[in-house]
Amino acid sequence: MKTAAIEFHHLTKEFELWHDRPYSIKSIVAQLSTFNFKFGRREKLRILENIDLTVYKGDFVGIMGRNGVGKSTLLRLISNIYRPTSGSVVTHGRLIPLLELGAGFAAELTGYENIFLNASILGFSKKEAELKAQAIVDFSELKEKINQPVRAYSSGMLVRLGFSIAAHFNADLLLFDEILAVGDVGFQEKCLQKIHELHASGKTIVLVTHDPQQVAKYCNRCIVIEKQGVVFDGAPSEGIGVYSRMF
Amino acid sequence: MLGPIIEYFCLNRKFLIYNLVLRNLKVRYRKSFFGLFWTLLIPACSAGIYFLVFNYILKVQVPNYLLHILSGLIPWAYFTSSLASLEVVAANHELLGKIPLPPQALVLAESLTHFLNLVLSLPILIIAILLHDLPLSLTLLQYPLLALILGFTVHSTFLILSLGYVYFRDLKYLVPLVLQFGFYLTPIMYDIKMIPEQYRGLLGLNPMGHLFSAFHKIVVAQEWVPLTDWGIILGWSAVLSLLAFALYKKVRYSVVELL
Repeated sequence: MKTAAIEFHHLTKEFELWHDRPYSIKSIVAQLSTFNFKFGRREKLRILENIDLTVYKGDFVGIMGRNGVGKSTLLRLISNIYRPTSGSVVTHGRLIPLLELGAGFAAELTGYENIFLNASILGFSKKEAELKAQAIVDFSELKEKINQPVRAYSSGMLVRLGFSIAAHFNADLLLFDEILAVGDVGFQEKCLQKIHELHASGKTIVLVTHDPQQVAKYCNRCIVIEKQGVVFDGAPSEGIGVYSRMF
Repeated sequence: MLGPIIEYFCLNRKFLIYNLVLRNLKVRYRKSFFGLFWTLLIPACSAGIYFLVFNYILKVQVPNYLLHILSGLIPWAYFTSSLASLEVVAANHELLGKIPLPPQALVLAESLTHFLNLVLSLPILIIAILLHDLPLSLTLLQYPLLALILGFTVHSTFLILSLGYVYFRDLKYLVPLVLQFGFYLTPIMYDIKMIPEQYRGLLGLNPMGHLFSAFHKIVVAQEWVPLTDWGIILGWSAVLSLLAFALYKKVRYSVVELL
């Protein structure tokens, strides 16, 4: 019996796109003086439509699809950063979203201080942060640079720190959004290996990627998104085929 | 019912708020020589200038005038410096879409940082009381309560404006202008009794009016604030808090999703 980790029920997500919307009082007054009381045009952009999907505990899902098709939006809906327009998304267990590496770091603080800030943003306690801090520093291989302000970090170093933080906290569910594109090959491989280990220890992983090799090597399930919905959900080998035929 | 309130005040995210406040303080004062000492220095200096002008040039007749100015200026500085951060949600728009950081947490942390500055500048007030040869009477026990209500009033106003700023960028220019009027429409430099009697009732229309008058009553006159005044102060605070909460409920996700 498989237990659900993430459940989508008839989820639809729309964004409102305003055209010619007045952002200032001056433009409102200017418009009112022409006796035009209709402020801006609102266009609804439907990104995802009626998604029904269940990710099970222990799944390693690779999500593929063209740019702008709503893969990141999907992850943000799971992370409760966005709210569904209709329908719902329910998650079971603790969740760590890694949508952009280095997001939430305070440039003036040191890498070490940022471990605590980031942990608290992800919803972990001081105790948990103290417990994991050393392992995070070790895994990141930043050594003494951990005590430098983050603004002096290269993007590769930000990747190292960001990934190390996410990988070491005790979550049941990890979301990764194309984050492994940066960083040198050695560390990229180390990250994938770590994700693989996390999966092996029973965690649920959702990975957005454009790299068929990653999907083939690590995922047990592949989801392809196209035209506001799921067009394929199944074995990675077939999913990669569906994805590559789109181009 | 309790759920939204817990989320609104981030009661389940205390470590997050603690870290955000810590970050604010560190970022603000790193590389500055006087550091936190500035929070004592700035109100003391501006009170000195106002005292020179209003006491020696304009010859305002208010007993213990320097203390009178300080007791109003310190909370006013807290109010204006909070509102000066009204860009906090808009400026972090991109970040809010990438990490699970609720927008109200950013605002709350900013608010608490400023409130901490207020608390840290209170020693000046005590020194000033002693320098004026005034006693530290029991009526001062009202101060923490009044400061707390001030905190809610300021935080709510700040939240409303920082969420509003996402949609109306004019607030950046409008707010300082209104605050400039507010500074003279609120009893800070003068005493409530100096307002002509027939207009004194109008002070209730200013959300900060009786609040700041109460600071004078507690610190300078050292008397118990009448219950009717408490009523007006609490009333305004409640109205603003409810408004802020309602607005938060309405746009909490929209401010993040706005394209």
